[in-house]
Amino acid sequence: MKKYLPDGITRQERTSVLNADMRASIPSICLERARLVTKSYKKTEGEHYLLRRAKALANVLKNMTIFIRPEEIIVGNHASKQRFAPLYPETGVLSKKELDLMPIREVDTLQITEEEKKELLEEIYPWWKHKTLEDLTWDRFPADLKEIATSPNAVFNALSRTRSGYGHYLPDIAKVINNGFQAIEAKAQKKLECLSCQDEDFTYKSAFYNAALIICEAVHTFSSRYAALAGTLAENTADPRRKKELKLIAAACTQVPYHPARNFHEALQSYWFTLLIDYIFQNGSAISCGRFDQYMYPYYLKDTDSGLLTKDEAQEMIEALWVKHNDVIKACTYNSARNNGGFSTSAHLTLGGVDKDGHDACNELTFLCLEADRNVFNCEPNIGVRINKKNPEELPQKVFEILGTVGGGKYPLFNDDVIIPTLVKDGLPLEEARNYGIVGCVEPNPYGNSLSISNACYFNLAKCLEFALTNGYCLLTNKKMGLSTGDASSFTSMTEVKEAYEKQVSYFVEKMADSLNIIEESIADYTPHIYCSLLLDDCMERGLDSSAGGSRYNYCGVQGVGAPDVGDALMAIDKLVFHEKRLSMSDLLHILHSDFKDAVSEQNMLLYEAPKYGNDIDEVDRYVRYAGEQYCLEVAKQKEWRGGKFRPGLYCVSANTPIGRQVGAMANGRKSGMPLADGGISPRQGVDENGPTAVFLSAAKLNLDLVTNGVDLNMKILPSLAKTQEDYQKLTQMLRGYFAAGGMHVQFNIISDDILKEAQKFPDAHRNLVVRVAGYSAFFVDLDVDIQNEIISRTAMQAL
Amino acid sequence: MISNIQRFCIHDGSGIRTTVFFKGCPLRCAWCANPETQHTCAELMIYHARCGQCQTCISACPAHALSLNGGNIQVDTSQCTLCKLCVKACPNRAISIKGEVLCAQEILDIVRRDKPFYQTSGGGMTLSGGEPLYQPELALELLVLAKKYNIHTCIETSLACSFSVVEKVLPFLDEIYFDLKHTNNTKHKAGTGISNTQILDNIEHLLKQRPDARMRIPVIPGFNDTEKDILEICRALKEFPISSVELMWFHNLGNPKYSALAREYPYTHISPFSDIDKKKIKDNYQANGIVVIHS
Repeated sequence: MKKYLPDGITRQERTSVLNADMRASIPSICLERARLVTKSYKKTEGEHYLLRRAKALANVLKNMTIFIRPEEIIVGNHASKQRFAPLYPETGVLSKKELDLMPIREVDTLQITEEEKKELLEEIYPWWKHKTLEDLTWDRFPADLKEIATSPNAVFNALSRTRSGYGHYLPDIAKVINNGFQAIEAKAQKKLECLSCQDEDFTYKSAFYNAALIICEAVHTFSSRYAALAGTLAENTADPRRKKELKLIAAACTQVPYHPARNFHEALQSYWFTLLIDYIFQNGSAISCGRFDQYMYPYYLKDTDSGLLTKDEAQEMIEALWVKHNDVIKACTYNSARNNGGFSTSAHLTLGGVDKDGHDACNELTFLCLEADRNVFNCEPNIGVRINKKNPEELPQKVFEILGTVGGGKYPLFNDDVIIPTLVKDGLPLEEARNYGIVGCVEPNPYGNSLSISNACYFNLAKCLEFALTNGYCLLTNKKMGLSTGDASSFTSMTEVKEAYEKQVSYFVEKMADSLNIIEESIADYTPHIYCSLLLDDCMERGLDSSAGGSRYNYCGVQGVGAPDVGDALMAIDKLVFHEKRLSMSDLLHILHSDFKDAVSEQNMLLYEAPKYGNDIDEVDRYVRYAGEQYCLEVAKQKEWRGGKFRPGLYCVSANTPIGRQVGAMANGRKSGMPLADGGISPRQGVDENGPTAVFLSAAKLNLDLVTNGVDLNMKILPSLAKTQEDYQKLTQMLRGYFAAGGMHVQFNIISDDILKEAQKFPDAHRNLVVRVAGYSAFFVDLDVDIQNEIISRTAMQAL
Repeated sequence: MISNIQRFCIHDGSGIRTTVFFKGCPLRCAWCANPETQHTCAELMIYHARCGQCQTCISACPAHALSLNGGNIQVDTSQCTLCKLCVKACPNRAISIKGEVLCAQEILDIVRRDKPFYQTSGGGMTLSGGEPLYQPELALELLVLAKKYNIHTCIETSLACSFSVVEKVLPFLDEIYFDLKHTNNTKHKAGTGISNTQILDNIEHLLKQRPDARMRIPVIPGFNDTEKDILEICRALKEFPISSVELMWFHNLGNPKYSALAREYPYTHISPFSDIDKKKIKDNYQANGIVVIHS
């Protein structure tokens, strides 16, 4: 018997209808947003960009196509059809080549008709010439940064940020659920009334508050449109059960997100609108969800306690919401799709952990969310679980149980007992540190008060080692790209190798910071994030947009990629060149230049006779620690434009494959163009021969205190290890051991290689196969074949 | 002589364990899944599936012990000096040498590394093999040292040794698993090459001192899996008295090891038990009054 919803459909039936409907949709490009934004921008030329942005969003929210799919209970769509990708011409345009590629590329394939292409290229895009963020930012780049930005195989590529926007932060959704946009509107109104003409930032602030008012009103209109649509549908539906549901939807959309939520259903609906509108507003991914099981719990408790709602109904609505998350897809460029792939938005939803007083925060809803996800099991939302010493064993065990029964990989696990002290050390008050949520893949951030920009750039550490050994020349193109740090064949000690490497890293880290600062300033000027600013503490108080530094904390996360490769390579040089003198430095350089041509035995020696990271061998683990530490310290030296901090991370999602293509042969025996170690701190593929505990202990030796933006360790486990309750217990004990040793993060992927290989051959039969690609999850069959192969090659941990 | 030290073992005693596989065993079980642990000497293993037949190893061998024969690289063990040059030369890592002489301290230095995991799981070190009590001095040294480091200890033994050897290690063992292949001596001799008289005596003595010791029976197709076998085994068990056993199901995962050692495996084409077979066998044990646990 249901209490809130009418009887007549079970939870399983609804979820299966919704999932089938979502999965049957054919991802395509949607022009509607581009038309509406362009129309608005044409009208607002000359106005402040804060107002132009707000008006453009308002125009979209008031006029975009809206729909309610069969059996939906949570409503709100991202584009004109389900799983359509809107376009963001204000940030950058897509070339004809990119558009031609969309329907035929093997990753994130998007349909687009010839008429649509024509409209874009001939009507919409021409107006944007020299008006996009990308163009305007490019004009601000000095020659040296332009040179790096246009070089193939560059150490970093910052410019893609202009197109992809920020994303990657934790909006204070809870505030909207509890108080509604009406509270934000009232505050903006009040601030505007109090704003003195003599305020030195009068023009800016008045634009800011007026923009806020425009948005609040547009948000209200948007949800009211759904209320009206649901009402009409209810009238036209003969089925009394669906009629009643549509009336509930209409009532919820009349109430939220403008007014405070009154029950669990409205809280979920408010959550979805608030998050969805941000995704409609900007092209960024990983706008993340925060601690869902914490801020939703009071609504759940109230409704279940008062007998308004059954536990199963709560789960039914959560499942409906989880399906809804997969509606959000973005049209990435081919390169970007290859880096990330799988239409993953990485909206990270955090469960578990402790409350602000440090007590176990797990509740019934924590487990309900996991149970709901077991039944839905799509790539979104990206559910991460905080594991604290104080959390019950049932929490990690539940995660393993789901992974063991459903297969695949999800639910990254985060060690509270390492992350909270790290955040405190980084300057957060203890209570805020305890309330951290994860952004995107692995980035821990305070909730609702920081524009984290946690995934601003990848930095190729392996390329820096290449330059240190080649005096700055690229092994692939022979082009001079790095610093002149001396002819490595004359190096006589590890000190000299390390000095050269450090100089390269230091030089490029500074260039990366410079590039990002220019981009950030340009974003603040041309595409301020006014909607985000309404959801971040202190922006309203200061009358300052989050993109310009309005929020309480300002971060910019930059990730070092290839620390395990660099560490292994340094170890091999140390042992085989300088210590055992089995290879001269000039021989090594010659071998690397020729990519091990006619040097199989030397390659074998480099591969197998020097220890490798991931085996719990101190001498090599120390080198990986060094590579990570040195990068983090360099990053920490940089000044962030908004007065915040650059935060170093050591993770790479699945970018280790494309980034690896840009690196020549390495002294650890890795051939030119091969993927770098995956995840960010996982051992190189196949070298971890001492089993998972050794991998964990190697990873726990890194100086994680410094890696404030997070790390990614992937651990593939065969299904035979996760079948029984006893297995789940042992896996939990293993996790606890790793975390007790000081580990920060791990992502388990319980899967068999055979299944993956079969999925490559018969993708349609495996549409439900979700894998974690180094830090986030995606449909396996959607991935680039290189990345698929890379996943298959990762060591499968066996315990026979 | 040690064959292998394997971390993260979760089926050899409580918690997460590191298992030390001793090399050398007095039994020659025809179905053995770890043939590389039978002999006490180091041995060359050539994994043919990985071999690219490039013959690099043949040129690398100073003793001319390797040759290509019928599409497979073969080693003449009378010539091989175990110099490892072929191991290093092979581009496909198809060759390895099993068997290393390590002292107790060296072994414990590896075992100790997983202490964080022993602490969270109640795990520790397991001595297995091969037969750990076939090298009684090393086994004892390891156990004494483990206790010094406060590491939980476990043994998996066939008890094919004099009881005085068993008695010496007992005080240092937290957990004991012994296995019995068959209670029928004729069958035991046929399957393992040795009589079970000493083993059965040892079981009796052991259980008097350590009633917590647990019996495991490897269930082998055609050897001890018929109703008749099970009835006979169960009757004998009740005499001890033993009321529960763990069954370890035959698997043929050892198959590639035999071919790597250039040995014949009589069980190559024998399939593992189906779930239905397993249930039947378990039911049979239960029907004869023996409780089957963890199987």
